[in-house]
Amino acid sequence: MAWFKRRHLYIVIGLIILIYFSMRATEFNLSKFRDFRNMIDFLSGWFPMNMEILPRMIMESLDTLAMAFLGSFLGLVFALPLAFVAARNTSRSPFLYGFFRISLSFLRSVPEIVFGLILLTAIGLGPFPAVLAIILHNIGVLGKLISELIEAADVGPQEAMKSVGAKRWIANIFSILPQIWPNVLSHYFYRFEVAIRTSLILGFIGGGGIGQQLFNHFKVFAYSSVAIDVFLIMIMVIMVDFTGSKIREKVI
Amino acid sequence: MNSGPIIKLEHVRVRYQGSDEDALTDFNLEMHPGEFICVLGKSGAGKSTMIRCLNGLQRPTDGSVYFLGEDITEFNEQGLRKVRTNMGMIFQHFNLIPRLSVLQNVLTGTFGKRNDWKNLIGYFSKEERDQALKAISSVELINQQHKRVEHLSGGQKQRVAIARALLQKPKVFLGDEPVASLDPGTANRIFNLIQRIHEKHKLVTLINVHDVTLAKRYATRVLALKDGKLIYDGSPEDVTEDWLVKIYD
Repeated sequence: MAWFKRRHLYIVIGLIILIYFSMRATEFNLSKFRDFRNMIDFLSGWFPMNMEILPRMIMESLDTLAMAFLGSFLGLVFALPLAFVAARNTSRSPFLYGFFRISLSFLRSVPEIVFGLILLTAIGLGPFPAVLAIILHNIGVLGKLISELIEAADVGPQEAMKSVGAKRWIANIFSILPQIWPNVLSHYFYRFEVAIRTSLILGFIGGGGIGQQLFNHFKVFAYSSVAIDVFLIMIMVIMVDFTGSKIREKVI
Repeated sequence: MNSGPIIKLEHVRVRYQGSDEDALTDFNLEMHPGEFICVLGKSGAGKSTMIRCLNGLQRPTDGSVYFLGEDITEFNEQGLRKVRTNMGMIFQHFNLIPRLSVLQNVLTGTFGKRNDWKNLIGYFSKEERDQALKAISSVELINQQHKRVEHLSGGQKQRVAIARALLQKPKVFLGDEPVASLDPGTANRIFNLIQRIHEKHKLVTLINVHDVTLAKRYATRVLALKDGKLIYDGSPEDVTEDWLVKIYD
Protein backbone atom coordinates (compact mmCIF):
# COMPACT_ATOMS: atom_id res chain seq x y z
CA MET A 1 0.00 0.00 0.00
CA ALA A 2 2.62 2.42 -1.13
CA TRP A 3 0.25 5.27 -1.91
CA PHE A 4 -1.87 5.26 1.23
CA LYS A 5 -1.36 6.48 4.77
CA ARG A 6 -3.49 5.95 7.87
CA ARG A 7 -4.75 9.52 7.40
CA HIS A 8 -6.39 8.51 4.13
CA LEU A 9 -8.42 5.82 5.90
CA TYR A 10 -9.85 8.41 8.30
CA ILE A 11 -10.73 10.66 5.37
CA VAL A 12 -12.61 7.82 3.67
CA ILE A 13 -14.52 6.99 6.88
CA GLY A 14 -15.36 10.66 7.34
CA LEU A 15 -16.67 10.90 3.77
CA ILE A 16 -18.86 7.82 4.21
CA ILE A 17 -20.40 9.33 7.35
CA LEU A 18 -21.04 12.61 5.51
CA ILE A 19 -22.70 10.79 2.61
CA TYR A 20 -24.93 8.86 5.02
CA PHE A 21 -26.20 11.95 6.83
CA SER A 22 -26.61 13.92 3.61
CA MET A 23 -28.77 11.10 2.21
CA ARG A 24 -30.89 11.13 5.34
CA ALA A 25 -31.32 14.89 5.09
CA THR A 26 -32.30 14.81 1.42
CA GLU A 27 -34.53 11.71 1.65
CA PHE A 28 -32.31 10.12 -0.94
CA ASN A 29 -33.97 6.78 -1.67
CA LEU A 30 -33.75 4.93 -4.96
CA SER A 31 -36.70 2.65 -4.11
CA LYS A 32 -38.94 5.68 -4.59
CA PHE A 33 -38.52 5.11 -8.30
CA ARG A 34 -41.42 2.67 -8.10
CA ASP A 35 -43.50 5.53 -9.50
CA PHE A 36 -41.24 5.56 -12.48
CA ARG A 37 -44.18 5.08 -14.84
CA ASN A 38 -45.56 8.54 -13.92
CA MET A 39 -42.46 10.09 -15.30
CA ILE A 40 -42.82 8.22 -18.58
CA ASP A 41 -46.43 9.40 -18.82
CA PHE A 42 -45.36 12.95 -18.13
CA LEU A 43 -42.54 12.90 -20.65
CA SER A 44 -44.72 11.34 -23.34
CA GLY A 45 -46.84 14.51 -23.12
CA TRP A 46 -43.82 16.40 -24.43
CA PHE A 47 -44.06 14.83 -27.87
CA PRO A 48 -44.72 15.66 -30.61
CA MET A 49 -43.11 19.02 -30.00
CA ASN A 50 -45.14 22.13 -30.69
CA MET A 51 -43.34 23.27 -33.85
CA GLU A 52 -45.72 26.17 -34.36
CA ILE A 53 -44.04 28.25 -31.68
CA LEU A 54 -40.51 27.44 -32.84
CA PRO A 55 -39.74 30.74 -34.69
CA ARG A 56 -41.03 32.83 -31.79
CA MET A 57 -39.11 30.74 -29.26
CA ILE A 58 -35.92 31.10 -31.29
CA MET A 59 -36.25 34.86 -30.90
CA GLU A 60 -36.80 34.39 -27.15
CA SER A 61 -33.67 32.22 -27.03
CA LEU A 62 -31.68 34.99 -28.71
CA ASP A 63 -32.86 37.32 -25.91
CA THR A 64 -31.58 34.81 -23.38
CA LEU A 65 -28.28 34.55 -25.25
CA ALA A 66 -27.95 38.34 -25.25
CA MET A 67 -28.65 38.47 -21.50
CA ALA A 68 -26.08 35.78 -20.78
CA PHE A 69 -23.46 37.31 -23.07
CA LEU A 70 -23.87 40.84 -21.75
CA GLY A 71 -24.01 39.69 -18.14
CA SER A 72 -20.92 37.53 -18.32
CA PHE A 73 -18.88 39.77 -20.64
CA LEU A 74 -19.45 43.00 -18.71
CA GLY A 75 -18.72 40.95 -15.61
CA LEU A 76 -15.36 40.04 -17.15
CA VAL A 77 -14.65 43.65 -18.13
CA PHE A 78 -15.08 44.79 -14.52
CA ALA A 79 -13.51 41.70 -12.98
CA LEU A 80 -10.24 41.90 -14.91
CA PRO A 81 -8.89 45.13 -13.38
CA LEU A 82 -10.40 44.29 -9.99
CA ALA A 83 -8.58 40.95 -10.02
CA PHE A 84 -5.24 42.77 -10.16
CA VAL A 85 -6.09 44.75 -7.02
CA ALA A 86 -7.40 41.62 -5.36
CA ALA A 87 -4.29 39.51 -6.02
CA ARG A 88 -1.65 39.36 -3.32
CA ASN A 89 1.31 39.91 -5.64
CA THR A 90 -0.06 42.86 -7.63
CA SER A 91 -2.13 44.69 -5.01
CA ARG A 92 -0.83 48.05 -3.85
CA SER A 93 -1.28 47.35 -0.17
CA PRO A 94 -2.46 44.58 2.13
CA PHE A 95 -5.44 46.77 3.03
CA LEU A 96 -6.62 47.14 -0.58
CA TYR A 97 -5.99 43.44 -1.15
CA GLY A 98 -8.14 42.47 1.83
CA PHE A 99 -10.84 44.99 1.01
CA PHE A 100 -11.26 43.84 -2.60
CA ARG A 101 -10.99 40.18 -1.71
CA ILE A 102 -13.84 40.54 0.77
CA SER A 103 -15.88 42.66 -1.65
CA LEU A 104 -15.54 40.03 -4.36
CA SER A 105 -16.54 37.24 -2.05
CA PHE A 106 -19.55 39.30 -0.96
CA LEU A 107 -20.65 39.68 -4.59
CA ARG A 108 -20.10 35.97 -5.09
CA SER A 109 -22.06 34.95 -2.02
CA VAL A 110 -25.26 36.67 -3.19
CA PRO A 111 -27.09 34.43 -5.68
CA GLU A 112 -28.20 36.06 -8.93
CA ILE A 113 -31.85 35.45 -8.08
CA VAL A 114 -31.49 37.51 -4.91
CA PHE A 115 -29.83 40.36 -6.81
CA GLY A 116 -32.60 39.98 -9.39
CA LEU A 117 -35.39 40.21 -6.81
CA ILE A 118 -33.79 43.27 -5.19
CA LEU A 119 -33.21 45.06 -8.50
CA LEU A 120 -36.74 44.20 -9.61
CA THR A 121 -38.11 46.54 -6.94
CA ALA A 122 -36.27 49.49 -8.48
CA ILE A 123 -36.22 48.71 -12.19
CA GLY A 124 -39.32 46.60 -12.59
CA LEU A 125 -39.80 43.45 -14.65
CA GLY A 126 -37.72 42.66 -17.72
CA PRO A 127 -34.33 41.50 -18.88
CA PHE A 128 -32.41 44.56 -17.65
CA PRO A 129 -32.43 43.69 -13.91
CA ALA A 130 -31.56 40.12 -14.90
CA VAL A 131 -28.48 41.28 -16.83
CA LEU A 132 -27.39 43.46 -13.91
CA ALA A 133 -27.79 40.55 -11.51
CA ILE A 134 -25.63 38.34 -13.73
CA ILE A 135 -22.98 41.07 -14.05
CA LEU A 136 -22.74 41.55 -10.29
CA HIS A 137 -22.43 37.87 -9.50
CA ASN A 138 -19.89 37.32 -12.30
CA ILE A 139 -17.69 40.18 -11.13
CA GLY A 140 -17.41 38.25 -7.88
CA VAL A 141 -16.75 34.88 -9.47
CA LEU A 142 -14.42 35.93 -12.30
CA GLY A 143 -12.62 38.42 -10.05
CA LYS A 144 -11.73 35.65 -7.64
CA LEU A 145 -10.75 33.13 -10.31
CA ILE A 146 -8.61 35.60 -12.24
CA SER A 147 -6.90 36.93 -9.11
CA GLU A 148 -5.89 33.36 -8.32
CA LEU A 149 -4.44 32.99 -11.82
CA ILE A 150 -2.51 36.22 -11.25
CA GLU A 151 -1.11 34.93 -7.98
CA ALA A 152 0.04 31.71 -9.64
CA ALA A 153 1.67 33.44 -12.64
CA ASP A 154 5.37 32.84 -13.28
CA VAL A 155 7.44 35.58 -11.61
CA GLY A 156 10.22 35.48 -14.24
CA PRO A 157 8.63 37.84 -16.77
CA GLN A 158 7.51 40.12 -13.92
CA GLU A 159 11.11 40.44 -12.80
CA ALA A 160 12.24 41.12 -16.38
CA MET A 161 9.68 43.89 -16.83
CA LYS A 162 10.75 45.45 -13.54
CA SER A 163 14.38 45.36 -14.60
CA VAL A 164 13.74 47.26 -17.86
CA GLY A 165 12.42 50.03 -15.63
CA ALA A 166 8.75 49.73 -16.56
CA LYS A 167 6.13 51.19 -14.22
CA ARG A 168 4.44 48.74 -11.94
CA TRP A 169 1.05 48.65 -13.61
CA ILE A 170 2.50 48.34 -17.11
CA ALA A 171 4.92 45.67 -15.92
CA ASN A 172 2.06 43.74 -14.30
CA ILE A 173 -0.18 43.87 -17.35
CA PHE A 174 2.51 42.79 -19.78
CA SER A 175 4.17 40.16 -17.66
CA ILE A 176 0.98 38.53 -16.34
CA LEU A 177 -1.88 38.97 -18.79
CA PRO A 178 -0.36 37.09 -21.76
CA GLN A 179 0.48 34.19 -19.44
CA ILE A 180 -2.98 33.80 -17.98
CA TRP A 181 -5.03 34.76 -21.06
CA PRO A 182 -6.00 31.23 -22.22
CA ASN A 183 -7.16 30.36 -18.72
CA VAL A 184 -9.05 33.63 -18.42
CA LEU A 185 -10.88 32.75 -21.62
CA SER A 186 -11.79 29.26 -20.49
CA HIS A 187 -13.11 30.62 -17.18
CA TYR A 188 -15.05 33.21 -19.14
CA PHE A 189 -16.70 30.73 -21.48
CA TYR A 190 -17.65 28.52 -18.59
CA ARG A 191 -19.26 31.49 -16.88
CA PHE A 192 -21.07 32.37 -20.15
CA GLU A 193 -22.52 28.87 -20.19
CA VAL A 194 -23.54 29.16 -16.54
CA ALA A 195 -25.08 32.58 -17.29
CA ILE A 196 -27.41 30.94 -19.84
CA ARG A 197 -28.77 28.63 -17.17
CA THR A 198 -28.97 31.54 -14.71
CA SER A 199 -30.92 33.69 -17.11
CA LEU A 200 -33.45 30.82 -17.35
CA ILE A 201 -33.97 30.96 -13.61
CA LEU A 202 -34.20 34.75 -13.76
CA GLY A 203 -36.87 34.27 -16.44
CA PHE A 204 -38.98 32.64 -13.72
CA ILE A 205 -39.07 36.00 -11.89
CA GLY A 206 -40.00 37.92 -15.03
CA GLY A 207 -36.56 38.37 -16.52
CA GLY A 208 -37.83 37.56 -20.02
CA GLY A 209 -36.24 35.33 -22.62
CA ILE A 210 -36.74 31.60 -23.11
CA GLY A 211 -36.64 31.04 -19.34
CA GLN A 212 -39.80 33.02 -18.80
CA GLN A 213 -41.48 31.14 -21.69
CA LEU A 214 -40.43 27.83 -20.16
CA PHE A 215 -41.92 28.85 -16.83
CA ASN A 216 -45.17 30.02 -18.46
CA HIS A 217 -45.53 26.87 -20.56
CA PHE A 218 -45.02 24.74 -17.47
CA LYS A 219 -47.68 26.65 -15.55
CA VAL A 220 -50.29 26.12 -18.28
CA PHE A 221 -49.30 22.46 -18.78
CA ALA A 222 -48.27 23.14 -22.40
CA TYR A 223 -45.75 20.30 -22.34
CA SER A 224 -45.28 20.11 -26.11
CA SER A 225 -44.15 23.75 -25.92
CA VAL A 226 -41.95 22.99 -22.92
CA ALA A 227 -40.22 20.41 -25.09
CA ILE A 228 -39.34 23.06 -27.69
CA ASP A 229 -37.98 25.35 -24.95
CA VAL A 230 -35.80 22.63 -23.46
CA PHE A 231 -34.59 21.61 -26.92
CA LEU A 232 -33.55 25.19 -27.75
CA ILE A 233 -31.82 25.61 -24.40
CA MET A 234 -29.77 22.47 -25.00
CA ILE A 235 -28.73 23.66 -28.44
CA MET A 236 -27.74 27.03 -27.05
CA VAL A 237 -25.56 25.60 -24.30
CA ILE A 238 -23.87 23.20 -26.71
CA MET A 239 -23.22 26.01 -29.18
CA VAL A 240 -21.61 28.25 -26.57
CA ASP A 241 -19.50 25.37 -25.34
CA PHE A 242 -18.40 24.57 -28.89
CA THR A 243 -17.56 28.19 -29.79
CA GLY A 244 -15.70 28.59 -26.55
CA SER A 245 -13.48 25.61 -27.11
CA LYS A 246 -12.83 26.67 -30.75
CA ILE A 247 -11.78 30.16 -29.68
CA ARG A 248 -9.61 28.77 -26.92
CA GLU A 249 -7.88 26.42 -29.37
CA LYS A 250 -7.07 29.38 -31.60
CA VAL A 251 -5.69 31.38 -28.68
CA ILE A 252 -3.39 28.71 -27.32
CA MET B 1 32.52 61.48 -12.73
CA ASN B 2 33.33 59.31 -15.74
CA SER B 3 36.75 58.42 -14.44
CA GLY B 4 35.30 56.92 -11.25
CA PRO B 5 33.60 53.57 -10.88
CA ILE B 6 30.28 53.09 -12.66
CA ILE B 7 28.97 51.07 -9.77
CA LYS B 8 30.26 50.93 -6.24
CA LEU B 9 29.01 48.78 -3.38
CA GLU B 10 29.95 49.85 0.13
CA HIS B 11 29.51 47.57 3.13
CA VAL B 12 26.42 46.05 1.60
CA ARG B 13 24.58 43.59 3.78
CA VAL B 14 21.40 41.76 2.84
CA ARG B 15 19.34 39.64 5.15
CA TYR B 16 16.08 38.25 3.85
CA GLN B 17 12.99 38.48 6.01
CA GLY B 18 12.60 35.46 8.24
CA SER B 19 16.19 34.33 7.75
CA ASP B 20 18.75 34.37 10.56
CA GLU B 21 21.74 34.48 8.24
CA ASP B 22 23.00 37.21 5.96
CA ALA B 23 22.68 36.46 2.24
CA LEU B 24 25.39 39.04 1.66
CA THR B 25 27.84 40.27 4.31
CA ASP B 26 29.92 43.47 4.30
CA PHE B 27 30.24 43.40 0.54
CA ASN B 28 32.49 45.95 -1.17
CA LEU B 29 32.98 46.27 -4.91
CA GLU B 30 33.87 48.79 -7.57
CA MET B 31 33.02 48.24 -11.21
CA HIS B 32 34.92 50.26 -13.79
CA PRO B 33 34.22 51.04 -17.44
CA GLY B 34 35.25 48.29 -19.81
CA GLU B 35 35.33 45.52 -17.23
CA PHE B 36 33.87 42.11 -18.07
CA ILE B 37 33.33 40.54 -14.67
CA CYS B 38 32.37 36.94 -14.06
CA VAL B 39 31.13 35.93 -10.64
CA LEU B 40 31.75 32.38 -9.43
CA GLY B 41 30.25 30.63 -6.45
CA LYS B 42 28.04 27.79 -5.39
CA SER B 43 24.26 28.02 -5.51
CA GLY B 44 23.17 30.06 -2.52
CA ALA B 45 26.52 31.85 -2.20
CA GLY B 46 24.81 35.22 -2.72
CA LYS B 47 25.52 35.80 -6.42
CA SER B 48 21.89 36.48 -7.35
CA THR B 49 21.36 38.66 -4.29
CA MET B 50 24.41 40.71 -5.23
CA ILE B 51 23.36 41.22 -8.83
CA ARG B 52 19.85 42.20 -7.72
CA CYS B 53 21.35 44.86 -5.42
CA LEU B 54 23.07 46.45 -8.40
CA ASN B 55 19.85 47.39 -10.19
CA GLY B 56 17.74 47.93 -7.10
CA LEU B 57 15.56 44.82 -7.44
CA GLN B 58 16.81 44.07 -3.93
CA ARG B 59 17.22 46.77 -1.31
CA PRO B 60 20.24 46.17 0.94
CA THR B 61 19.55 45.83 4.65
CA ASP B 62 22.63 47.98 5.30
CA GLY B 63 25.22 49.74 3.20
CA SER B 64 25.19 51.77 0.01
CA VAL B 65 25.04 51.09 -3.71
CA TYR B 66 26.36 53.90 -5.89
CA PHE B 67 25.49 54.21 -9.56
CA LEU B 68 27.45 56.98 -11.33
CA GLY B 69 28.23 58.48 -7.94
CA GLU B 70 24.67 58.53 -6.58
CA ASP B 71 23.54 56.34 -3.70
CA ILE B 72 20.58 54.44 -5.15
CA THR B 73 19.58 52.96 -1.80
CA GLU B 74 18.21 56.42 -1.02
CA PHE B 75 16.10 56.47 -4.19
CA ASN B 76 12.37 55.98 -4.25
CA GLU B 77 10.69 53.58 -6.69
CA GLN B 78 10.65 56.18 -9.45
CA GLY B 79 14.36 56.87 -9.06
CA LEU B 80 15.15 53.17 -9.08
CA ARG B 81 13.16 52.71 -12.27
CA LYS B 82 15.32 55.32 -13.93
CA VAL B 83 18.45 53.52 -12.74
CA ARG B 84 17.14 50.23 -14.10
CA THR B 85 16.58 51.69 -17.57
CA ASN B 86 20.36 52.03 -17.71
CA MET B 87 21.00 48.40 -16.88
CA GLY B 88 20.15 45.56 -19.21
CA MET B 89 19.60 42.30 -17.42
CA ILE B 90 19.25 38.72 -18.61
CA PHE B 91 18.22 35.67 -16.60
CA GLN B 92 18.66 31.92 -16.35
CA HIS B 93 15.11 31.22 -17.46
CA PHE B 94 15.15 34.01 -20.09
CA ASN B 95 12.03 35.61 -18.58
CA LEU B 96 10.50 36.49 -21.92
CA ILE B 97 6.82 37.30 -22.19
CA PRO B 98 5.07 34.20 -23.49
CA ARG B 99 2.66 34.40 -26.42
CA LEU B 100 4.34 37.55 -27.75
CA SER B 101 6.61 37.54 -30.79
CA VAL B 102 10.36 38.11 -30.84
CA LEU B 103 9.86 41.69 -32.06
CA GLN B 104 7.17 42.41 -29.45
CA ASN B 105 9.36 41.05 -26.68
CA VAL B 106 12.33 43.11 -27.79
CA LEU B 107 10.20 46.27 -27.98
CA THR B 108 9.35 45.90 -24.27
CA GLY B 109 12.96 46.85 -23.62
CA THR B 110 11.95 50.47 -24.25
CA PHE B 111 9.17 50.47 -21.65
CA GLY B 112 11.12 52.29 -18.96
CA LYS B 113 11.66 55.35 -21.14
CA ARG B 114 8.29 55.76 -22.83
CA ASN B 115 4.82 57.02 -22.12
CA ASP B 116 2.77 54.33 -20.40
CA TRP B 117 -0.27 54.74 -22.62
CA LYS B 118 1.86 54.37 -25.73
CA ASN B 119 3.25 51.20 -24.16
CA LEU B 120 -0.23 49.95 -23.41
CA ILE B 121 -1.63 50.36 -26.91
CA GLY B 122 1.66 49.34 -28.52
CA TYR B 123 2.37 52.53 -30.44
CA PHE B 124 6.02 52.62 -31.53
CA SER B 125 7.62 55.17 -33.81
CA LYS B 126 9.42 54.15 -37.01
CA GLU B 127 12.71 54.92 -35.29
CA GLU B 128 11.90 52.72 -32.30
CA ARG B 129 10.92 49.84 -34.58
CA ASP B 130 14.10 50.25 -36.62
CA GLN B 131 16.18 50.15 -33.47
CA ALA B 132 14.39 46.99 -32.33
CA LEU B 133 15.05 45.36 -35.70
CA LYS B 134 18.69 46.39 -35.49
CA ALA B 135 18.96 44.79 -32.06
CA ILE B 136 17.32 41.63 -33.41
CA SER B 137 19.75 41.54 -36.34
CA SER B 138 22.68 41.91 -34.00
CA VAL B 139 21.61 38.73 -32.22
CA GLU B 140 21.00 37.08 -35.61
CA LEU B 141 17.29 36.44 -35.23
CA ILE B 142 15.95 38.71 -37.94
CA ASN B 143 14.30 35.80 -39.78
CA GLN B 144 12.42 34.82 -36.62
CA GLN B 145 11.19 38.31 -35.70
CA HIS B 146 7.50 37.40 -35.99
CA LYS B 147 7.79 34.01 -34.35
CA ARG B 148 6.30 33.53 -30.90
CA VAL B 149 9.06 33.19 -28.35
CA GLU B 150 7.81 29.91 -26.90
CA HIS B 151 8.59 28.28 -30.26
CA LEU B 152 12.29 29.15 -30.03
CA SER B 153 15.15 27.08 -28.67
CA GLY B 154 16.83 27.96 -25.37
CA GLY B 155 19.78 29.67 -27.04
CA GLN B 156 17.46 31.69 -29.29
CA LYS B 157 15.35 32.72 -26.30
CA GLN B 158 18.41 34.03 -24.50
CA ARG B 159 19.37 35.97 -27.63
CA VAL B 160 15.91 37.58 -27.65
CA ALA B 161 16.48 38.56 -24.02
CA ILE B 162 19.86 40.05 -24.98
CA ALA B 163 18.23 42.06 -27.77
CA ARG B 164 15.60 43.30 -25.32
CA ALA B 165 18.36 44.42 -22.95
CA LEU B 166 20.24 46.06 -25.86
CA LEU B 167 17.20 48.15 -26.75
CA GLN B 168 17.49 49.78 -23.33
CA LYS B 169 20.81 51.26 -24.57
CA PRO B 170 22.31 50.24 -21.25
CA LYS B 171 25.53 51.34 -19.61
CA VAL B 172 25.66 48.17 -17.55
CA PHE B 173 24.92 44.63 -18.65
CA LEU B 174 23.95 42.09 -15.99
CA GLY B 175 23.44 38.36 -16.36
CA ASP B 176 22.09 36.13 -13.60
CA GLU B 177 23.23 32.62 -14.62
CA PRO B 178 22.30 33.29 -18.25
CA VAL B 179 23.75 30.03 -19.58
CA ALA B 180 22.93 27.66 -16.72
CA SER B 181 20.07 26.04 -18.67
CA LEU B 182 21.94 25.83 -21.99
CA ASP B 183 24.20 23.16 -23.45
CA PRO B 184 27.97 23.91 -23.45
CA GLY B 185 28.19 24.82 -27.15
CA THR B 186 25.23 27.20 -26.96
CA ALA B 187 26.56 28.62 -23.69
CA ASN B 188 29.85 29.44 -25.36
CA ARG B 189 28.10 31.12 -28.30
CA ILE B 190 25.98 33.22 -25.91
CA PHE B 191 29.10 34.34 -24.04
CA ASN B 192 30.76 35.15 -27.34
CA LEU B 193 27.78 37.31 -28.30
CA ILE B 194 27.78 39.04 -24.93
CA GLN B 195 31.48 39.79 -25.31
CA ARG B 196 31.00 41.29 -28.79
CA ILE B 197 28.17 43.47 -27.48
CA HIS B 198 30.21 44.37 -24.43
CA GLU B 199 33.02 45.66 -26.62
CA LYS B 200 30.88 47.31 -29.26
CA HIS B 201 28.80 49.29 -26.78
CA LYS B 202 31.60 49.81 -24.24
CA LEU B 203 29.60 48.35 -21.38
CA VAL B 204 30.38 47.28 -17.88
CA THR B 205 29.36 43.66 -17.77
CA LEU B 206 28.77 41.40 -14.81
CA ILE B 207 27.72 37.79 -15.28
CA ASN B 208 27.03 35.12 -12.70
CA VAL B 209 28.23 31.81 -14.02
CA HIS B 210 28.79 28.26 -12.85
CA ASP B 211 31.15 27.27 -15.64
CA VAL B 212 34.72 28.14 -14.64
CA THR B 213 36.15 27.67 -18.16
CA LEU B 214 33.73 30.24 -19.56
CA ALA B 215 34.67 32.67 -16.81
CA LYS B 216 38.38 32.19 -17.48
CA ARG B 217 37.90 32.51 -21.24
CA TYR B 218 35.84 35.70 -21.31
CA ALA B 219 36.29 37.63 -18.07
CA THR B 220 38.74 40.45 -17.51
CA ARG B 221 38.12 40.10 -13.80
CA VAL B 222 36.77 37.28 -11.69
CA LEU B 223 34.93 37.50 -8.38
CA ALA B 224 34.12 34.55 -6.17
CA LEU B 225 31.50 34.48 -3.44
CA LYS B 226 31.11 32.08 -0.60
CA ASP B 227 28.46 32.25 2.13
CA GLY B 228 27.70 35.86 1.19
CA LYS B 229 31.31 37.00 1.34
CA LEU B 230 33.69 38.04 -1.42
CA ILE B 231 36.58 35.58 -1.20
CA TYR B 232 38.31 36.22 -4.52
CA ASP B 233 38.68 39.35 -6.61
CA GLY B 234 41.35 39.25 -9.25
CA SER B 235 42.44 38.23 -12.71
CA PRO B 236 41.04 35.12 -14.35
CA GLU B 237 44.52 33.67 -14.81
CA ASP B 238 45.08 33.56 -11.07
CA VAL B 239 42.01 31.41 -10.43
CA THR B 240 43.98 28.27 -9.60
CA GLU B 241 42.82 24.75 -8.77
CA ASP B 242 43.36 25.58 -5.11
CA TRP B 243 41.02 28.52 -5.40
CA LEU B 244 38.37 26.45 -7.13
CA VAL B 245 38.48 23.92 -4.30
CA LYS B 246 37.99 26.78 -1.85
CA ILE B 247 35.13 28.25 -3.83
CA TYR B 248 33.25 25.06 -4.53
CA ASP B 249 34.18 22.68 -1.69
